[in-house]
Amino acid sequence: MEPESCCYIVGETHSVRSPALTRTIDLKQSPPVIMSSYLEALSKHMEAVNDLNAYYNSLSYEQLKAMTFLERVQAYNWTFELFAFAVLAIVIGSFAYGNAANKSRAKKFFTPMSEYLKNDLNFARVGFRTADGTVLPYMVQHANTWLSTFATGRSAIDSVSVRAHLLPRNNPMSMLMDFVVGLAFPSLVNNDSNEYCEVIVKPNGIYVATENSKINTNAQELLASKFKFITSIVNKSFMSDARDKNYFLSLTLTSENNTLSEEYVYMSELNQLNTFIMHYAKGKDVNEILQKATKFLQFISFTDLPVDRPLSAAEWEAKQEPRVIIRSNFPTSQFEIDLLKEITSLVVEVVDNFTRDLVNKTPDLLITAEFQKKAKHLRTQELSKIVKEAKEAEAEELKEKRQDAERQRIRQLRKTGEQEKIDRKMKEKRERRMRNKQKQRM
Amino acid sequence: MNPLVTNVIIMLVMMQISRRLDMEDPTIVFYVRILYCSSIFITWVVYQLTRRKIVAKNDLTTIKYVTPGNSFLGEKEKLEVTTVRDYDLKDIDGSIKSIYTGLAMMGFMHLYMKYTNPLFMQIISPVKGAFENNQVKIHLFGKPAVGDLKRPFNAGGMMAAFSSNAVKTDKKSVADAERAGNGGFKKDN
Repeated sequence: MEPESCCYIVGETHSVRSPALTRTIDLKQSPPVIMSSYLEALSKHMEAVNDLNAYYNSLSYEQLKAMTFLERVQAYNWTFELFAFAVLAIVIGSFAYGNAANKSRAKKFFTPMSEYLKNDLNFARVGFRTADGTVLPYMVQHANTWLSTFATGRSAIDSVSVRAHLLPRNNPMSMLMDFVVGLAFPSLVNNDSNEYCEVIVKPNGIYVATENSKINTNAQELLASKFKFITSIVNKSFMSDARDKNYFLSLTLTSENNTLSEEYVYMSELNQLNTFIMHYAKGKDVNEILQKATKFLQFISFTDLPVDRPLSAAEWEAKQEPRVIIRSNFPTSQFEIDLLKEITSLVVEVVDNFTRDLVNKTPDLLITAEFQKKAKHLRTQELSKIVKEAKEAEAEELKEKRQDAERQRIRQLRKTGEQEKIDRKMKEKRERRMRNKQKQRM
Repeated sequence: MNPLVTNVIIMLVMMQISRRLDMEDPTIVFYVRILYCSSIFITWVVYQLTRRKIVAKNDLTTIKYVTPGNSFLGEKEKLEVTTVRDYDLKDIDGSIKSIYTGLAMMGFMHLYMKYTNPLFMQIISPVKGAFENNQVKIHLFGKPAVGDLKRPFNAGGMMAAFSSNAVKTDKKSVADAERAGNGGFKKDN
């Protein structure tokens, strides 16, 4: 609207056109001219760069030959080269700084976390043993952006893995591009591009009161039947995001409750499961911990279903695994590291108490037979939905393949001239039918 | 009066005034620039004040609604679960972002393309838009969040009136979307 009115004013009210306005009108009227104006600006800059050495280039071969090496160096304008070196230095400097910053963050978090898992939560093995026998407290991958540690060997818990993702500080250009693309097209930005930390606690259904206690033999049975449920405490700031990225959370009901801190909601497959974490966190003030973590914790979730939506029955079966997921921002301060330790300890406590109650067959178990029936029903429904979708996708693929084959066949017939014969026959058939119809009408 | 109608009236009036102005006169260009910058500044201040109020109120009441998926991408309906605070902040941040986008566009048109007319046309509408913004009405003018101001807001404009892709807030739609299992779709990055 505006450019048109601008042209109109120029054309109507001013008898004398300024060169600037004439240029503007020309630019508006023909888009290729706008493009050429950009190229013009670019070529001007390139010319300016070339002109830096206009004097040096104007010197003849004989003149250059007459000069000493030092005189030639002095005659040459090194501005562009210095600029290029400066850019290179910035790239190398930012790479070194980014790597060092990520290493420092990783060390600051993973070293105390590994110690906590070993000394306070009593895991027998923490970290990774290399071929030469040294134990690494944590692993780094992808230029210090993906970090992980692992702990195993404990009653009630099969393993704890701590995974974290850091920004690629060694590549500020990619960070900048992510930011710019994210501003214009948020859906294009990778889900994992932000910094986060995930602690995954896998139960094993085994409870031993002391080191000499007998191990219960029904561990696998307990895991397969009693750990199949979804209940979570989700920070209100991450509700939609968490549901969007995690398949298991998108199957839950969201509800608020007076028993829970105002900044959080429950997301459980059945409302009766909402109290699960509170119930089994005996002796720990869950709300107090949650209150401290309002700006840090994203969710704590007990689940057996996968994060990514399964696309087939086989994938559904393969990806079912009871576990607890603690997702938070990456801890950067001592306060946040301590907080994550506290939350991990809370989850371990809940798993411990739940497993103990299961093994001891305590009467006030929250996971009742009725609940198991409902959970099974939900999973059966979901599986049938996935199977149906998979079949539809398969049928669609088959249809496309058939259409492709048909197109290929017609192309082949055209090449050999067979298609023309078929077309002619069809045409004759149509004409014969038409004639018959006309005869009948007569 | 309907904001769309007033926008058209303002635009027509501004076009008539702009015809009578010599946009090549440096003095007029100077005053147009001052007026445009003042208008943008007032708009920015209004939105920032509203933003402050939203943060200060910290209303953590949960709201659930179903948004239509992108039909071009074959997306399904999606449940949005958020708080009043986050919903309002997202909305007001969008408005603030639109100021920056407008500023960049006007800067390009005026400084590079040498148009002054668009600058003149944009003197009133940002301020008007700010005072007609739902968040400003609720938080700055203290209007109750009922009727048209009930969250989630329905998209205004002429296109919205003909569109069936409205946000759903009825219990059945929300309950259906809540257990639909539409999360965790892998993205090909």
